[in-house]
Amino acid sequence: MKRWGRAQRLVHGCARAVLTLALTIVGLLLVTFLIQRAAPIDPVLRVVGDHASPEAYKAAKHELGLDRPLYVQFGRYLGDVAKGNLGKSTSTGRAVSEDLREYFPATLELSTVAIVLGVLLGIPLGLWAAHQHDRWVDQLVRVISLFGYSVPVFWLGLMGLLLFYAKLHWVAGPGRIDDVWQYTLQAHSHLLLIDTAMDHEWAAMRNAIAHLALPAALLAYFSTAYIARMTRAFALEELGKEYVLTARVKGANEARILWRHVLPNVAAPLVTVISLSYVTLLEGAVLTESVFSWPGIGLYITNALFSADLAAVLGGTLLIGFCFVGLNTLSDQIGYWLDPRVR
Amino acid sequence: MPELIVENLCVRFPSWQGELTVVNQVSFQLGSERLGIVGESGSGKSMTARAVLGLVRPPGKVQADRMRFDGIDLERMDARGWRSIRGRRVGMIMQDPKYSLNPVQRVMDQIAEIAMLHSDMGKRKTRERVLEMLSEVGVEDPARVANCYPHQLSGGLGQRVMIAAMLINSPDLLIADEPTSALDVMVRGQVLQLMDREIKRRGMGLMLISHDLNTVARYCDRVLIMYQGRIVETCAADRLFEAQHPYTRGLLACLPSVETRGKKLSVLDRAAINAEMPAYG
Amino acid sequence: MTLHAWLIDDAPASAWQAQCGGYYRGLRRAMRSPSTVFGIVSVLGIVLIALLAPWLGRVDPNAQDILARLQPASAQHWLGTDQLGRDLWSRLIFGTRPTLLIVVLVALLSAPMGLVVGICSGYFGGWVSAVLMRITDVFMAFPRLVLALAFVAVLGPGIVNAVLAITITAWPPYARLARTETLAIRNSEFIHAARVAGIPTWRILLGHVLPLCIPSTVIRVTLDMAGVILTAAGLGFLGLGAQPPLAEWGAMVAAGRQFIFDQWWVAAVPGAAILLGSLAFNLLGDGLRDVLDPKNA
Repeated sequence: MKRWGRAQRLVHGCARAVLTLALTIVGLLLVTFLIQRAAPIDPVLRVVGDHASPEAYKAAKHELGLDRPLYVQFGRYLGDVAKGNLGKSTSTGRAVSEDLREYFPATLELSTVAIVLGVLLGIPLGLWAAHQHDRWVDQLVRVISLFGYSVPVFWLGLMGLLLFYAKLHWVAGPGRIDDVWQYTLQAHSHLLLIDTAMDHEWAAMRNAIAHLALPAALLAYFSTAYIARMTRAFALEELGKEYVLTARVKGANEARILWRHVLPNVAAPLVTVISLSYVTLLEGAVLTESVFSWPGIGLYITNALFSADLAAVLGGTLLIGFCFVGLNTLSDQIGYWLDPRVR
Repeated sequence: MPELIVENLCVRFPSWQGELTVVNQVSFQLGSERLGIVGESGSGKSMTARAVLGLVRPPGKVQADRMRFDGIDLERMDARGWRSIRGRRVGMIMQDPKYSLNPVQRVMDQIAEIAMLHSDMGKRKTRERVLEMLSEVGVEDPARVANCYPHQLSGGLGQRVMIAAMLINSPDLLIADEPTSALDVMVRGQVLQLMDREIKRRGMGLMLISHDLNTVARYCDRVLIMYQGRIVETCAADRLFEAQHPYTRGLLACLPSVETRGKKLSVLDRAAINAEMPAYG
Repeated sequence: MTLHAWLIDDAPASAWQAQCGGYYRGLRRAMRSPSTVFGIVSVLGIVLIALLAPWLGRVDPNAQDILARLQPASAQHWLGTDQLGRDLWSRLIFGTRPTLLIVVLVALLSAPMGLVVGICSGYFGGWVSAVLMRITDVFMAFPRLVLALAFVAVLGPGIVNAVLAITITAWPPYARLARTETLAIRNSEFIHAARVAGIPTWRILLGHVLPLCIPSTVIRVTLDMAGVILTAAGLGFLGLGAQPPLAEWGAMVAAGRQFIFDQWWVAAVPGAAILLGSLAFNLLGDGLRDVLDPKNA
């Protein structure tokens, strides 16, 4: 009976999550749709040109379905997006979805490397700071996170390029890979680290890493700052709880207390923090990619902006929005799963 | 027999109004007997227990003329030394298993942890030992309980789990800090009797901290009465009800009984007690 | 009894005294922390610089001198000159103005918007709440900078549009906060009493609910201001915020970008100003939270 109750609750919870997800996504689409309609750019003129006759204009308008009521148009828009049709980019002349398939992996590669580094550095740093409350590590984490919260990412990127590329020659410059390999590499996944590994192009891989190092380190710094600060705050609260005292009574050492007792207890909120940090990186791509000429979705959106290519801008925005919503839902579910009290 | 000797123990905390002395010149000895410490909340009884295990966290400061356990000098103990005593030679049970058990760890892992920290028994043997231990403390279905998370246990069961964990390494001394005050009245007696039985069976020492005079009178051999960080009276448990100190008398007067039935219970007269307190320290 | 004694009284006679005492202790604690003092002083400093810009700036920030372009720091140009020979020091000083303007406008627009949505949602409940909160969630679900970009794409670049775009992305957290506060007081006795007394709903909301929601919103807004400065600078950097020739720090970094390897100071100086500005608000916000929420001290 009890088991059945739990299963029912689980199904109920999942159904709720899916419904919320669907509603939020429709909301996202509504916003982008309305932006599109509110734009001062006339999509009909784009098709027929400025000098079309009123008849041709009307015909084109009918063709595009723009003479139908708004809700019908919105329905069509929903259908198009569901089919993966995000319209045509006027600046690249290709389907937006096709463009995104090519640009997005670059962003994904960059932010994934950054978030992995951020987690690997941020969690130990945060735990350590909580343990050393008000001592130097704690102060260090405070300074790191305060600086991370205050510094403009594009400026720090420029300063990084100045120091590590121009002056010290430690890393390669802007771009994702040197031109030599630009057109010879086989694009399997558009993730350069994987593509080069698959074809055993080790020199190309080294070059890609040299290009990746600086922007990835930069973004990793921001996620480390955020993750360390939140880990510290969560852990500090846990350290005051009685089960920690029990662990001490048992004779556990401090490292064990932090990793085996405190960390599992803060895992659920930490997953949320990590996913938030990850989506912030995807978003931060807009500025970072501009600084490093990184051919990702951020650069795609900004370039599209300047050529008034609304379909491309909104397509990119929508994709990042989907990532946001998807990751949030995912981290909620992982959070539930990690905590036996709500599971 | 290992013996705990404490002489002039003081615990101080910095506060807004300067330093606050929470435990003030407390001295006692404890062998394989059952020692009760009674006092109201804030009287320093819990802090005394924590000082004995080196668990007073900074900014709190511990100071004593002498603090020894089985000949080991506790005052000059480093972190490693403390870890070899905690959980192995001295165990401690706290008030509410809801908080003292790790909420995201299964009972099995929580009990096994303390065993594995102090021996290199294999994983399988440890698990068997845990199940054995659980049935020793009167858990009816050890395999099921071992697989539970703390929030799935009742208070009484949780406290049995704590006892099982703390006794698994057969320590010489068990400190029980208000072990039953968070439990239902119905199961309090059961848990205390269980503790008592296991202590006697192993010939261990017990330090039972409580605010309940009846409990200590029943389950202890000797009783210390603490008030405002000091020990105000020491007596044999069976003579507790003949105690002399005005604070103890006051406490006794507050106990409900057949005679006081229907009458208004008395309240401590703190002014009178403070007048009797020696003006040292 | 002195005011000090009244404030630190261990046994306050009223809730009001206890509240004041709490703030007083928090304030004393905050003033003891050098970082909070630094934050307060810097924010005041920035405001002062913005007011006194014409006197501090020495020369017209937009005066070009092509012959003296990209010069390093000198007695004449304290921080050097940019690609059009404009004095960087003056541009830096005048740059406080658009930054503060954006911060103030965003605060003035987004906080009331969030308060209205949150209070209505919390007070009326039911489907009103469901609809409003879903809308809030949708806006929360959008990445801030990217949504702001999309809006700027439609509205066109410029400082006012940047403000609007940031506002549209900034209000949802305030709505959440106000809703939580309203829910907590909606069922309290004095609201019931007001309702029974026949006071119109809008007056209850304005006169009783709103004042109680304001303090928490103020803290949150202060804490968010650093983020607003960074977003505004980001939009400026991408060329979507303040338009030339207006001296705006983000746009100045973007302009200095071309010369980053040779005349690095052109980009470095305004970037440092952005850092200092958002750092000041971060420190002030942290200090304010310590005062009003001692739990996190």
